[in-house]
Amino acid sequence: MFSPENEKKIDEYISHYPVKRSAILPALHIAQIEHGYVTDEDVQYLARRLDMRVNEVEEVVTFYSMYSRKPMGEYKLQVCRTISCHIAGCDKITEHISDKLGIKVNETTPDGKFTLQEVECLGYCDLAPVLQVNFDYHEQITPERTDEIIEKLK
Amino acid sequence: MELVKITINGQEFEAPKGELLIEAAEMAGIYLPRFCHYRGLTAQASCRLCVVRVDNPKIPKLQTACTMPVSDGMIVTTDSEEIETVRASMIEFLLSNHPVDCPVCDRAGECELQDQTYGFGEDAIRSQYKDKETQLERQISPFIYNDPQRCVVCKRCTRVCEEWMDEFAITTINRGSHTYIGSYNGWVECSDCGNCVDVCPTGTLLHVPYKYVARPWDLKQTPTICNFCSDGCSMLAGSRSEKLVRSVARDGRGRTAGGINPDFLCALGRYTIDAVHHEDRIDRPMIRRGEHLVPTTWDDALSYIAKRLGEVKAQHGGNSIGVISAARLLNEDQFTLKKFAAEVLETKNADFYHDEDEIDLASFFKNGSPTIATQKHIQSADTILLIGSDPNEENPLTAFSVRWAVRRKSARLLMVNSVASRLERQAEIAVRVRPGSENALIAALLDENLTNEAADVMGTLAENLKAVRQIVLESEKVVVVFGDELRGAALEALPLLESVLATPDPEAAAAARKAYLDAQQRLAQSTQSTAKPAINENPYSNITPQPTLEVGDEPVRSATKFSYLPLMRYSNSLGAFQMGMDALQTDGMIAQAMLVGGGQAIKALYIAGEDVVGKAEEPKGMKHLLSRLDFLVVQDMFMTQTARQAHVILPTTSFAESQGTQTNNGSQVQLVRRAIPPVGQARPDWMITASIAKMMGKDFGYQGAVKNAFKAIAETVPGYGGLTHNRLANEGAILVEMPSVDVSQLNRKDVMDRLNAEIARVNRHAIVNLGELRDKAGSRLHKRYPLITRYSNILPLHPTNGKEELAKVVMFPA
Repeated sequence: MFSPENEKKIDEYISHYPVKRSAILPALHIAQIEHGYVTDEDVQYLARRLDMRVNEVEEVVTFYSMYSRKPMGEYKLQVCRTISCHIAGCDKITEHISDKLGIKVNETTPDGKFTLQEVECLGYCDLAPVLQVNFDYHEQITPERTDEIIEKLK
Repeated sequence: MELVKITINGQEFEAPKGELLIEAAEMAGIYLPRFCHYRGLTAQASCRLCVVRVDNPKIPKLQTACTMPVSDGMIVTTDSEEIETVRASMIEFLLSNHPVDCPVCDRAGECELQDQTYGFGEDAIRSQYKDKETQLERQISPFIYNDPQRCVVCKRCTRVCEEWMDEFAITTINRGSHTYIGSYNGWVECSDCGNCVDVCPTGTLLHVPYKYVARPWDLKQTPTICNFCSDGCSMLAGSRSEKLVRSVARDGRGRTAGGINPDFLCALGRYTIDAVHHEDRIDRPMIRRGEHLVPTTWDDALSYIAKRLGEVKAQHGGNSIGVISAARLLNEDQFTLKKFAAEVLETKNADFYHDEDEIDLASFFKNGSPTIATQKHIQSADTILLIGSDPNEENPLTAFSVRWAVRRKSARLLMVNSVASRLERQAEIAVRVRPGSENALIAALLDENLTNEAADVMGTLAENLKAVRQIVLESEKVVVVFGDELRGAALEALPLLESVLATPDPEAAAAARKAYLDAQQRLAQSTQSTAKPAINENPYSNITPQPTLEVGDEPVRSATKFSYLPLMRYSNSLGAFQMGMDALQTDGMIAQAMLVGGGQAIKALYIAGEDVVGKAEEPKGMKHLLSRLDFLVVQDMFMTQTARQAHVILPTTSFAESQGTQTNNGSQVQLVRRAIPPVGQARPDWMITASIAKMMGKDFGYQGAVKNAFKAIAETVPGYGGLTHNRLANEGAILVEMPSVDVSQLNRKDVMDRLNAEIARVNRHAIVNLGELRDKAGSRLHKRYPLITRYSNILPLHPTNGKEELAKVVMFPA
């Protein structure tokens, strides 16, 4: 199902917990990294592998916003929309990216490069507004800096 | 029960210690609003409607009454302005995401959201979510319709699915205001119990067959007893315009039938009621003219039967006539048939139809009745020994009780079975054995020296049997639940367990129990990655007092160490047996022998309610046997294959159209009430039989009233003395005491010899089934109840492989 290294990683995670099912969160991350999103097959496979019901896996996947059950772009542009960023004008950033890439929130560009998302607090309130691109944070973002970031990734 | 004093709103009340505040307040007459709290489910505390203020400096915030156990001297306020404001705003939040489409919602009228809003909410909503949850309504199973917009996310349905049914078929998807009830692929694969729909406080989950059929206030709801398996659940039969439209364990207003099943019902009780109005119902008597069956009047049909039966009796003697009843017929029907056979036909051939898959009642009751267990006994047992059968499929209420005992009361479940069962998930020891070798377990329990041989016969390890024996030995109260697999001498030997496996030392038993609970706790807390998940999902039950299934319940423990629950196949098998519709008691021919003897020893048959052709392994052969009879009377609800062979067909009422009593596997009599008038010209079985008897010159004195038939039962049948329909209506299920077993009469050596002989006959080449549970719930259901499910429009449409074969739902607008 996964590459041998990732399978090994899952085994490693399982060994960290008293019961197998506790390894579901890291396992889902591995699935997402490997396939870009959590596929139907991933849900079924992990349910079997971790002694869970498919419904329980589905519940976890849909509960956490960092997992996706739909294909995602190569780069996830996640704009924080919680209160500090909101006051600092995150709406403008979202709008700017939306106009620039021609996609709405939760949509992916036709070339499969970018996905635009609004997320809740990323914990960088002192440096609001903040944009997360995959695992990198960009603080005190402005429309101009957004352009730079996107151009670099293109 | 230990009581504590609590003060609610300045008034002092007494409440059972450890009871939840929300229930204690309700007992005191103070209703606290709630969505997520539900008796019998674990605490959720997500709706925050039941908040109260507890007068204690250590608890500065409002508390949820559904999670707070009462303690002595507790002072509680439930109706201050502060609390009212909080409740009103909680409801306002819920309504801000609710479509308020009550005029087209089936739940309107018995909707808890309506009631709570009316009682505790404000009359206006100030806000609406910008991005309202827009999951569209859809059907998610053949029986469940889901409209996520109406959901208040109380999670009662998912908890019912997990805790009561152990299905995990529905779950919550997403989070926050986007949460909705769904499943992995949007389709629910389950045993279709429908309990999730019953507990839903809003119109989110709805019964598909009941969709747009009636408004709750138009329904006439009659508490009655389910007619399918032998557990005997109570249900509310809802009828509209004299048509049965739904059956529920509990309606939206919290009304229940108040039976032995706390708000529990399975697919059979809930979704086969449409068979009552099936087009194949026979609506008038019919008589054979050559090849054809032509409609006739009751008078003609009955006098013809009286004449013909009289002729056969005069010509060949009474014993040439056989009477066969279906085990689902009510006590009054069985009793009247037996009386008719014995006093009018003067035949000893009267038997209720049963196959090998019925419990061997004759052996079980041979030396008197062992202590019979009821559902309550299971729910408060220390150890449950399940031998054979799969209650999860065949007696769902028993499975529910077992699960409850294990999950909430830390009971130990031991299973010895030849088929896969989902209950194995709850078992401490689950031993799979060769089909037909279950008897050997009784031998191993009775005689330790036989363990090795028994293990060999059963195709399992001796250690497994030793472990089972050891746990049974050290337990204080053991409920033995068994299926048809135990037969003959093994059943006769059961009463011997009491002395052989008596707990050597009560203190040791208590110590063993404590050791088990501690071990469970350690297992739950352990950090060893090799540990398997705890069987008992509430390992702290020896610390925290657990609320009982129903408020004020006391544990029900038998006087003896062992009590037994035979899982009979049909709703009234035990009743039929007690009424004497059992040929072995009169040394007559059993039903199978009567059928085989058709045309030879038996010249005429009177078959009440049984489709012997449909149930036969070779229907053609059975048809031929029936065709050799001089005279065949069939009284049935449906035009079955058997009925087509008859000389006279009499239409009978279904359980919903007649009043009577029914005895379940726990030997409890319950009252079956009439929910709708008879369909067509149908008449109750007891009335038909009594009419024929009258025409043949014997008046049973019923005067057309079922109460008089039951009076006759109370006068003659042991254990039924003093019972009346009125008493049953008022008191619910009443235990019938049968003469208890006299172990001293039991010839131990003889029984053991026969048991050993039986074990020697077991086919040792049979393969032990170690496979997973493969059959889908519905398919086994059909095999089990072919007649009923065949006549139900809904159940046979159960999809076997996914969405394609979706049952057709009449949608509005069409």
